[in-house]
Amino acid sequence: MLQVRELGKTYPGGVAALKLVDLDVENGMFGLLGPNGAGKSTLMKILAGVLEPSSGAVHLDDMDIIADPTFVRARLGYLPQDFGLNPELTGEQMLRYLLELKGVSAPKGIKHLSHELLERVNLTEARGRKVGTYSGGMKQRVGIAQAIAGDPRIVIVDEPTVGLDPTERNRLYGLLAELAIDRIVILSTHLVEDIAILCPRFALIRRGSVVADTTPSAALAKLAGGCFEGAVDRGELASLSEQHRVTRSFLVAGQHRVRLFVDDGDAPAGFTSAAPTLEDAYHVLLGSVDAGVDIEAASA
Amino acid sequence: MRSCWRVVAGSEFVLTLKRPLWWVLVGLLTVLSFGISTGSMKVNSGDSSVGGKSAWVTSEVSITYLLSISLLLYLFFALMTAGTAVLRDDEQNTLSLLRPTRLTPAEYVLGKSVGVFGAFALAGVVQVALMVLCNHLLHSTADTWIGPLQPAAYVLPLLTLLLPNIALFVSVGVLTALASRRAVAVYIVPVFVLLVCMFFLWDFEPTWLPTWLDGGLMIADPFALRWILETVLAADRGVDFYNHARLPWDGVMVGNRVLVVATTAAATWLAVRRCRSVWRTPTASRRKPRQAVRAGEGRNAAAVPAPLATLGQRQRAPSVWRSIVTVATFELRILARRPGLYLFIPLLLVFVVSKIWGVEGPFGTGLIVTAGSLGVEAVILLTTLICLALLFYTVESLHRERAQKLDGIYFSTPIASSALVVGKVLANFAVALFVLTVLTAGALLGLAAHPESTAAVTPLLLVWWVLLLPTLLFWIAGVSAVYAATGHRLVTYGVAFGGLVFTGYGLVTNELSWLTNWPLWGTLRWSDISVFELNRTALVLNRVGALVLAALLLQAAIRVFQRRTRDPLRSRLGVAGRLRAARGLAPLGIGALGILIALQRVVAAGPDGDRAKNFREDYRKAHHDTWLRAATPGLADVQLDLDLEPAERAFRVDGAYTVVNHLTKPIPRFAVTTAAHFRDVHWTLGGERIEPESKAGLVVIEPSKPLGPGAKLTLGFRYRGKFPAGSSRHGMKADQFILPSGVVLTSFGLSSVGATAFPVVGYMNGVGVDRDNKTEPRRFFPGFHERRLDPYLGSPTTFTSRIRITGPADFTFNSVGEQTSDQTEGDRRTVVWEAKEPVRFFNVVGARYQVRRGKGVAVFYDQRHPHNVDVMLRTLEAARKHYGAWFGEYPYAELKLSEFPALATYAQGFPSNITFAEGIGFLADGKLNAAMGITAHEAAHQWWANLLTPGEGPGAAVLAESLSHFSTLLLLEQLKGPDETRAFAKMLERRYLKNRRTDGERPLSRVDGSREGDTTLFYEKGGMVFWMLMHQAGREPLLKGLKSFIAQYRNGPDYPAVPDLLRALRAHAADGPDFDRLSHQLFEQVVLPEYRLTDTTKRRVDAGWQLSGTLRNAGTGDFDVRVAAVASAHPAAGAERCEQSLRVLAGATVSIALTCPFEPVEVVVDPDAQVLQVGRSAARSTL
Repeated sequence: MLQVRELGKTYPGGVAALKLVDLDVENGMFGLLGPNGAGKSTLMKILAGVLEPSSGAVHLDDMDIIADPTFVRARLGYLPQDFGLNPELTGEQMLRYLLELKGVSAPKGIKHLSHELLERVNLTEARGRKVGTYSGGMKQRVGIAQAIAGDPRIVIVDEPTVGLDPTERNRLYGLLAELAIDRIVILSTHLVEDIAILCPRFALIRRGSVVADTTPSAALAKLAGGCFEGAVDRGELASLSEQHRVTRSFLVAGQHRVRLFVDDGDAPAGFTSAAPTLEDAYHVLLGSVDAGVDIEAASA
Repeated sequence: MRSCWRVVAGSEFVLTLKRPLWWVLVGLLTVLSFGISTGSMKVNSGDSSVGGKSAWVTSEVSITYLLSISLLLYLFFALMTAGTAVLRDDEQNTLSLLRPTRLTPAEYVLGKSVGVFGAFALAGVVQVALMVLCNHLLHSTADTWIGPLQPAAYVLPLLTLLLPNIALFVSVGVLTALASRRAVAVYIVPVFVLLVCMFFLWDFEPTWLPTWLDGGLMIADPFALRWILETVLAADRGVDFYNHARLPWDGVMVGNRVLVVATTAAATWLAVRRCRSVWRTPTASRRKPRQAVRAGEGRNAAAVPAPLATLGQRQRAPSVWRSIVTVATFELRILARRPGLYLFIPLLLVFVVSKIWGVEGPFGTGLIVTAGSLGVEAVILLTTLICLALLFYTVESLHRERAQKLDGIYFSTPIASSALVVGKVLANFAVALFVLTVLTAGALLGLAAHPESTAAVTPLLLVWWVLLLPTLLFWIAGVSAVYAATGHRLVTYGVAFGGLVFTGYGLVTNELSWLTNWPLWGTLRWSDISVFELNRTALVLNRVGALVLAALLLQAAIRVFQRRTRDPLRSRLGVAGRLRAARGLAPLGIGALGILIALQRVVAAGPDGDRAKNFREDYRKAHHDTWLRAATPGLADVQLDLDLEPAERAFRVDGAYTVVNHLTKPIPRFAVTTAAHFRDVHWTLGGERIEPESKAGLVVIEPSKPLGPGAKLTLGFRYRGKFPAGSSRHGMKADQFILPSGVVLTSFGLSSVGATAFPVVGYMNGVGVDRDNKTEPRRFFPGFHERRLDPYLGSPTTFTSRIRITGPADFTFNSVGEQTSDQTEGDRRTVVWEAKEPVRFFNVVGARYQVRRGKGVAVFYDQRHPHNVDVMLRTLEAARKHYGAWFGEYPYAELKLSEFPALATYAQGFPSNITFAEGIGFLADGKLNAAMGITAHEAAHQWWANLLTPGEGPGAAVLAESLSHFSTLLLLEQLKGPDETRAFAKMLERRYLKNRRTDGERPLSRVDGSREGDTTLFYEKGGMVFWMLMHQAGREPLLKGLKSFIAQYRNGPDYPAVPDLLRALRAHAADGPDFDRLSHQLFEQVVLPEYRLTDTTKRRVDAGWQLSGTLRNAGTGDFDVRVAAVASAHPAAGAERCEQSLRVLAGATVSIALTCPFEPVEVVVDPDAQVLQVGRSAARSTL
């Protein structure tokens, strides 16, 4: 079990990235959702032992991993949000080096294992090519391969779907779900879709604080009967967002449509009741959303 | 709206000013400016005597020269800063952010270049301002090296030299970064430029170098240093020129500057082109993909892979050792791909191999390089360059994960921090081993290929591996520790550069000691015979200390290496926390401290230690005023019984001096100088034990009644000691020693190890003299030679001697006189040497020798140095024969020449027993008859120093060294003919012109060795002056005069000076007044002809070819000089030539008119190098 207690991180210059964060994470997939700059990556780095917090404690299976980060390092699979690889090495060489550093072993040897892992991330054909020739998504997959390698007690993946096409994203979902069967997998993302697909539980983090620690179903339950959707003129968006909690605005066949949450069930005229989504819950839990800023294409 | 490039430039300018590297540079420039203002670094000119003219550090020439040298700092700092400014954008993906903006590649390059240039131009302005401040505010014109403030002297070099070069370095840095997109290339380029300049552009000056190529090299030198050295500084042009003249710009210098500007423009243009290409390439991808990679590449996306669990993976923190191997192997794989390494190693190889062919020995002759001497000779440059390369590679290694943004993954792996740091350190150490392996192999091949050198592995392994590797390990560990502590590449570079610069400063200022000299710069002296015996204890402690400090620094690096970014709030340590953190370092820290203390104790016990230094100072303070001019008896006989234990560096002495009062008044008491290393000293007088007054190294012998004129007295003594004791402070040379491999002891008293081996009768002026209390030498006024002079060397009286030497059975011991006994008992050998022919000084030399004997001569040599023994033996035989005929018969039965370890570079001609350091003669190469010349010179001292000992006073060295050089020319002519003699004479002339100090140069009769530049006067100039005199006044009269001179003064009691010599020579001169004219110019004045040939033409006439032209003497001196027309540019001996003799007065012009039976191709003034002159290359004209 991973226990986070009163975790705080203030960067030089006074920026408070985390403010007294408390979390309990058990085996399984745990999502960490929040907008950019919320403090997710800072929390991930602290959990991965590459950043020292300013205050608080983190225990993994009752071991204080702040005092002794070596404990978590020996049990960790970590994919940072922003990472690079040595461009002079092939994908296979890079992965094997990282596997050796992690102390990973396998019955058929590390070479075979690296082939298998690269196959899992669909890089078999490209494994002999220099990493310098890889696209962003391919590099991301090398990172995923090293993160899932070994038998980690805890897997921390920070925005893992960035740069992946839908096929690879699905493949990653499968891998993470498989890993989460008997270990802790923490998925940090700003995509509600990732959480919806993978996480039976998630925390919502905003400006360094956990604003919700819940399950998707509980989050949706809070919105039951309060979600409405309707078409509006573009000029009405601003006044509508002042009066209601707009959770989403998007275009359908060139027409602006808006979803909003109404606590008392008194929807504006022209709006019809709609089944709540996790994205609605995300915005409601975060407090508000700027109308007109988040317009999506209908296909999104 | 501001132009885009201005925005980039402005931000880069500010960013550069915030960089530690810029501040490190300014710090170094501050130290440099202050150091220069103290006069410690100035143009080598002027008069070094008290009150003499000194070159100003404030003149335009001086400032240009100093700024040119300081450009080396800018080369590294500006080029690297410019390069990393671009690389930083590349690494941080800033380029990808800039790409969509309206900023163009040209604006980007221009902005970056201008920003960095502006910052370093500001550093240049700061430097010049600091120089003005230090020179004119901290010092004043009261200091002889400070001249009046001339703003132009500072501003012009700043504008014409410093700023263009900074622009050049910046543009090359930007181009390198954009072309390579690798940090290491940016660091290698300045090293490459430095190597090319050091080994080629500044140093390449063979005698055959044509003028056009020389000029090309001057233009190509980006520092303009070659031009400054050759045009302004090569020959001393006098302090007035350096202090007042403007820099003499010429076409070459203009070309140099134009090339710098053009190269800057070209580099910037290329950088823009390259940037356009980079602009189109995704930043993360360093090279274009060979093929577009599709997302769905590979296995069918729909296929379901086997579960991860089926792979049976396990994860356990790898062991430290395994991790070290993993990291080191990976790092090596990366380092092996660095192209810079393959550029760097060949350059080092070129340097090493060039050393095999190009080392200068005594008198400017070439040296046969041995493996050990090559190793030691290369230490400073090799350590510097390898350290620079390792600095770049180590920092790159340690920073790699951060630079590639792999740190998140990398530092979260379970690998131990110790393995991470040690693995990288070991990989870089392996690079060092690889470089040394290649260099060692290259050196061995080079030595094997050299016709006279011998390839030997052991010395190279000892010097480059055993001694150098601790340095490199210390350096890598130190660099790692700095990087680990700061986490900043540029700070690490700054600190490391600072360390190297300060070490170099310590070397230049002689402040390094065994405690601080971590790279062993300037401390090592190689001897094939005595391998680091002299200071071995200090050397071993120094090396062990370097290793322990390396371990300590490595441990510190591991402890402070930040794989987890520290939180300043959480990690703030109190005193207790700091102590806890330091506790882990304590064992190695204590070990290092213990070694440093032990080292300090060894040095303290040595000749530079406080005890010995105080002893010498006390000696001077206590006795100088009392005993300097006190009456001192001479020696009539010396009896010594020496028991030598070379393995222990020890000796026991039991001896007796018979002293004689050679003066006209009784001597009531006299002084005898001893030394700090004398132990258990016993004295007897007339056979009776005495307890003389003894204080601070001087005992006072007071006979029961004053020693009357002509009376003799026997002073007995017995003592034991170690000689020299301890280790010197920084590995200074030793001219006398008892070491396991050899022994050299002399009666001269004052030795380079600061003590005498034997008691010296009288007070020794010079002991305890240092820079602070040094005074100008005693002045001798005209006519000084009219009174009776004491000899400038040795006893005022001649004496007989019997020296009994006991030592190891495998040693051969030589001394003055003839060997009368040689017995071996067990492992001890006893020999007795007796000098029945009186001598004035004696020596003892011993080693495990091979010997070759000739007719009345013998050469004792180390078995590893047989190269020149035949030549030396033949030269000694010829010297006995011809010098005997020219100067008087040689009185000793055998003339011996013995080799001793090269712990000092000198040769001394004691009566019948010459000693040569191994680097002299024995290892002279075949060029210019070096072995013969050196042997001939030292053999000549048997006449010119022994038989004829000069009197104390100015010009004494002329009678010893000048006449020995002249004798060498005579013997060379006798044995080798005119061509090789001419070459030798030209070599003497070149060395004189190169080493003379125009302002301080005094006439030969006044030279006393006290001023800078005096040495070349009594060696090269003096030798050539007698050579000139002989050709002007006639050979036979001169030789007759010299012979009669020796005969007259051989036995004292008056010892001669230069005027006595001239009087003797004049007595045999064919034309007395003409001799006076010549001798006055040559010995009483400083004159130097400078002949200029102009308007030379030739035309066909009936009798052959008629040649005409004009000859002007632009210099000084009125001498007869021959002008010859020759049929080929390099005529062999006896080749056809027609010539005429002319006397060209100073400033005068005369016409040449020659008729030749052949068609001449060239006119040459003084074709046989018989007139010492300046500008010989201009004194010829091709027809």
